[in-house]
Amino acid sequence: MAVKNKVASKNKRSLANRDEPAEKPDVFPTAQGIDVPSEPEQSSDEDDDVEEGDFDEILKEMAEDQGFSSADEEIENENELDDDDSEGEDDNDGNDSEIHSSDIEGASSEEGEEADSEDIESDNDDISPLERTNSRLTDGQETAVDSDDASEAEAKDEDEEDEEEGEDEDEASKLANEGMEKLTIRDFGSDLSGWKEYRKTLPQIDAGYASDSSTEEPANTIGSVPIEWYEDYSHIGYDLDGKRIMRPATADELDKFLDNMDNPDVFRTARDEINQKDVKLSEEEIDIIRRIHGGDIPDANYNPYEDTVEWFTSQTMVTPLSGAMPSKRGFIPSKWEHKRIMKIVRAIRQGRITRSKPKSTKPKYYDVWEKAEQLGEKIKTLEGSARRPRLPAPRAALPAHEESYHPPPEYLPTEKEKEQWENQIQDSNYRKRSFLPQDFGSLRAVPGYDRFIQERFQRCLDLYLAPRMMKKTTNLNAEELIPRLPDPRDLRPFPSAEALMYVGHTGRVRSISVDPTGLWLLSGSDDGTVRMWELVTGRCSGMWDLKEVVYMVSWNPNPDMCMFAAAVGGRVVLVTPTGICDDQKQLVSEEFVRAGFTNTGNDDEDDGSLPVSWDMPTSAEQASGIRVSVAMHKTVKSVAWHRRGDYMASLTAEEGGSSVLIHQVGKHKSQRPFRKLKGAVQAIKFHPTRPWFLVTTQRYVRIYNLMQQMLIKTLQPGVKWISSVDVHPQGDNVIVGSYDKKLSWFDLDLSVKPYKSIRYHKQAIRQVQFSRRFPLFATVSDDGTIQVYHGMVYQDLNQNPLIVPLKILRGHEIRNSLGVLDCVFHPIQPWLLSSGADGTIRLWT
Amino acid sequence: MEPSSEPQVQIRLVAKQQKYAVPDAPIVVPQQLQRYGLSDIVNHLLNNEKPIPFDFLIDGEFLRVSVANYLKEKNLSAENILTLEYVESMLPPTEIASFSQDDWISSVAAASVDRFVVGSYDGIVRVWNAQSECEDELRGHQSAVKCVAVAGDLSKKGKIEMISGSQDQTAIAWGSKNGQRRALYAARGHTGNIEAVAINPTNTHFVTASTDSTIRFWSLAVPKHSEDGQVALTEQEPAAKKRKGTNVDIMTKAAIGTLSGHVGAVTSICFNKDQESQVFSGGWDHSVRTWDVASGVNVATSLCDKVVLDVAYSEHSRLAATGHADHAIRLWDPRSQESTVVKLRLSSHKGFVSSVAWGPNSAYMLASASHDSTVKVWDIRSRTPLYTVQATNDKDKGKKLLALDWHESLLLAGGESGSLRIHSIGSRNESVAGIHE
Repeated sequence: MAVKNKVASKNKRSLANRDEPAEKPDVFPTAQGIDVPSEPEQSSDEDDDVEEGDFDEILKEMAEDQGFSSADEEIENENELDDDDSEGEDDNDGNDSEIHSSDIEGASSEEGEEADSEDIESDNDDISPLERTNSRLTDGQETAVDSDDASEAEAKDEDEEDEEEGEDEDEASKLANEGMEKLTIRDFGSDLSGWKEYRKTLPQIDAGYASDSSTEEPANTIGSVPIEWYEDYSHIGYDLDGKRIMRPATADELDKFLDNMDNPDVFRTARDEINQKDVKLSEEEIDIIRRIHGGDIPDANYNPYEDTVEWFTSQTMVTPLSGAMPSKRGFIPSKWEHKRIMKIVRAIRQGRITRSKPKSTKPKYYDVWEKAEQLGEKIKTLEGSARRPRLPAPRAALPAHEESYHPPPEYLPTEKEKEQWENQIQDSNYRKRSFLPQDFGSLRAVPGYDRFIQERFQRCLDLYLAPRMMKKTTNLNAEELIPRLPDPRDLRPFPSAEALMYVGHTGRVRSISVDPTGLWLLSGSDDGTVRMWELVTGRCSGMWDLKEVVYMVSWNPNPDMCMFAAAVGGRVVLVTPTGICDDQKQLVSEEFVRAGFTNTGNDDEDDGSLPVSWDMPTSAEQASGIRVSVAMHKTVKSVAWHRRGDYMASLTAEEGGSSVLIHQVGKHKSQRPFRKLKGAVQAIKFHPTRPWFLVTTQRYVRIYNLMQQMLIKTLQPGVKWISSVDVHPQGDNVIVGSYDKKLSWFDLDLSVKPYKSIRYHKQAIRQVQFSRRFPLFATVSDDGTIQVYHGMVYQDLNQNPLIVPLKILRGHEIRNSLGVLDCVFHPIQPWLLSSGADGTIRLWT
Repeated sequence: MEPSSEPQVQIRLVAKQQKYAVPDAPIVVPQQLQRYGLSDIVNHLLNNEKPIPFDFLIDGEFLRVSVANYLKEKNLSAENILTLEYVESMLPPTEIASFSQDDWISSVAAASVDRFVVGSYDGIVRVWNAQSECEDELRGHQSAVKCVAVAGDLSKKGKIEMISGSQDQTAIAWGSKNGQRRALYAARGHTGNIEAVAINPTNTHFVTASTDSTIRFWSLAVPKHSEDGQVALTEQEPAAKKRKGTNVDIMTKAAIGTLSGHVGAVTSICFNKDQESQVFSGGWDHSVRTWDVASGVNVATSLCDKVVLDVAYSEHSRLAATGHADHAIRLWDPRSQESTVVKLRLSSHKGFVSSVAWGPNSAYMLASASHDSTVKVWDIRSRTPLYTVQATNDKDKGKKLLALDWHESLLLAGGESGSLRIHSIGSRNESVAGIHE
């Protein structure tokens, strides 16, 4: 037994521990066969907390820990397992003892050790052949065979000798012998065939009939109750059914004696008190008794002087080999692994661990040019990078029908096209394509491409040498740039078509004017005439031949009067036309005009400084309606009426300066409001609502207050040559037209700079005009067009004027690069009248 | 007849005139037929030796396209029986005469089929007869005559024959006196041009429209003595008297009433021949107004947004037609309470529509003269003009037409060219006036 303890230190330990549980069955027989509960889980401190999501890794780790993945890792894993299970050893041993105690039931306690060794060996039997092979490569063959034979013989003997020992014991003994053999496994060496033979001779475990304990007669079931307790009873115990087991009849003294005399085996008969019968001892038992008496080891087969087995070599080796038996624990599924796995399983069931998302599979193909473009992008995004970004080369066009070897006939060039192509300069951009489509009936007939190298070369040149530039273009929608304006159709009425043409003048019509009632139209022309037209029919109902160029005609704006002024040559004539107004009005007008003649004498001295003379016209002229002639000695370019019709301003302009005079018609008095005027005056205008006067020089529009005699504002249109000016009837807005094609709209409340500048005309703007009644204004130009705009001025001062171009009216012919010269809105209707260099006046409705 | 693959349609022909009635049974005709083909069919049914042209109406509208196109336009099924009303089609107006004068014609009025009164811009009212002779040249106005109106037949002696209005703000009534036409009196009072004058159907009163935005109502009768009022002014104004020349001594008439309401110039006026006191006027303020002259009340005002140049009322259709500066003719129902309802807008002219005139005997016929030198004849059942009369003389071409009158079967037009164009119009059976060049 001491030697056996030497066999494995671990086994020894287990045996020591086994003693206690081995005794337990006696006290608590029912506990046998019941699993001893394993140690509480408190011992699972070695288990790491399982983290969610690590499931895959953990499983993988587990699989590796199992040691089944590869043979090479076995030893290592074993060791690991050993280490792992070191703490749980007691528990394992407990399991072992279980098996043990059940196995040795009914056997004598003396045989515990053997049974133990058998237990170990039986465990070893579970080793897979491969492992066994690995572990026993160095075992010797011969000893194995020998010992095998011996053990077999012994076993047979034992069977014959004592059947009562039962199968368990037989097996145990056999396996014990086997274990003996195994103790000598080192002797096998590397001889594999020896091992194989040894393997073959292993006794087959056969569960025979004898092994069935049910065939035995019912045993006494009183347990460990001392038989003395039943001395006074006729029975000695109870069977399983609770019936008394009667005391067998005992022989009396005479019988005993006779038996002693007669029975030769009496000396070897012993009384079994429990079963109350005599038992004949076998030879072997006698031998054991004998040995015990003699102080020997009871087991006859035990060799106390066996050779030592060098589990660990005494020689110091460079790479020491362990001949140690593989640990039993290596073949038992680890409880702790099981617990870890169960923990993970629980975690999965509770949903604490979820399967990680499957990784998206990448496409196997890839874009060859992707990197190049990305590179370009990357460099582009690098701000401040000095490197010029690499621009990807333009891709070659894909081949089309015409590049086919057998193109459809419509792609084939005609003879003419061929000739044309051949005449074109080679390798130039004149050629639409660098080849001529050709038709080879089949692919076989296609010759080698002679220009291949050349073409590749060109392509390479283009790729590597052609400079490329990155141009930044802003994606601007043209419509976004245009301000949102209402639809002109919603802004009706406005003049949109020619309705009438007033024909009669033979020269340029420089100026037109409509009388306050809107029935009569005046026109002054280069042919020296002033004509009056019936506006609706176009009938010329009056004509004054004044012999000189008429620069300006203007109706007196006073509706109570019927009188107009015409600037003709060096004078201004005031005319009261006959036959168009009632007698009373005419009388008033004539009296008003002539009234000054009576006053003339009084103010002679004052007027002397001015080059103005108020003259009575000739009788012929008087007959035609000309009432007063105001001579100025310089060409009068323009006249302007004050809105009340009593004051009239005149502008004379020649080389050497221009002068502006304001005349009081009722008194025939003139005055010069401005001593000196800078620059050439282009136009003059009375403000429609305030006592202001607008003097337009070449670049600026100056607004003077006549009452306070001071300059109020100087408008700066920013143009080179102003041609005309008009004031909105409400008085807060001024439009200025210029010879450099620009129209400027000023809001007098805002700034002296234009609120809006519009340049639509192709030529110089000649005249700008507001409609007195409708939110309209018009510009006329040398390009022969009239442009009509919607110009709404809101009463709300917060709202800016709305300017919408409405219509371009064409019709006037251009003569000597002069187009339309003047325009005027009808005072009542949304009609526009225009006069042109072609001698016509047109009505637009 | 051989069977044709053309699509066909069943039609029923209906005539209002008994003499042209055909059997009521539906007949099957090809869809491709137009007016001419249908007219042939009717003539065939009537067994006329000399074919009469007919016009066809479907649901009160003239058929101007083929039957197939009509069905397509109206989304009608060819399965149904189409009812076609046919009327004798009006002959195209034929120019039968052209009387020429020097100055522009501002107004025309036919007194009878052989006497035409023409007002001219030279201030003379001329009376032409059918023999193209100028019977009379009536001088009296100091300025252009803008309008003339005829009171009945000129043959009646001693009565007011006609009234002319002028730019000199007077209207002069002309009549025979001592076997000679002369100015009987001058109606003074307006302070603007007299643009239109109209005499009531019973020849008792007349109205004048002026650019001073008023309408004045006068009695037609010759006053016993010169009515004061305006006379005082005339006496104060020797120059005016001097200008009036020989007619200074004619009597002055004052207006009975003044209808003011128009905001701008009043350009046209006409009487309702059914209601003596009802007058329609149109003006520059884009309104067509209905007045009751007896009470001087503006009964109704209809507005459009274009200048009204002429207005005419038809007692047959009870519609007022107006000519506008936007080249359109508008038809109004004066009885309608909604003031802006334009019943129909006819636009085909290319210039101002200076004058409109209803056919005297028809509820549908309308004529219009325009600045584009054309006269158009309309049947208001059709939106396109029936006939467009272009100027034939080179002299007339491109010249504005300013005046138009439709008297019985005569259509008179005059304008810028100074020639009075006389057209005969109407169905063939109506006798054409015996006008001889």
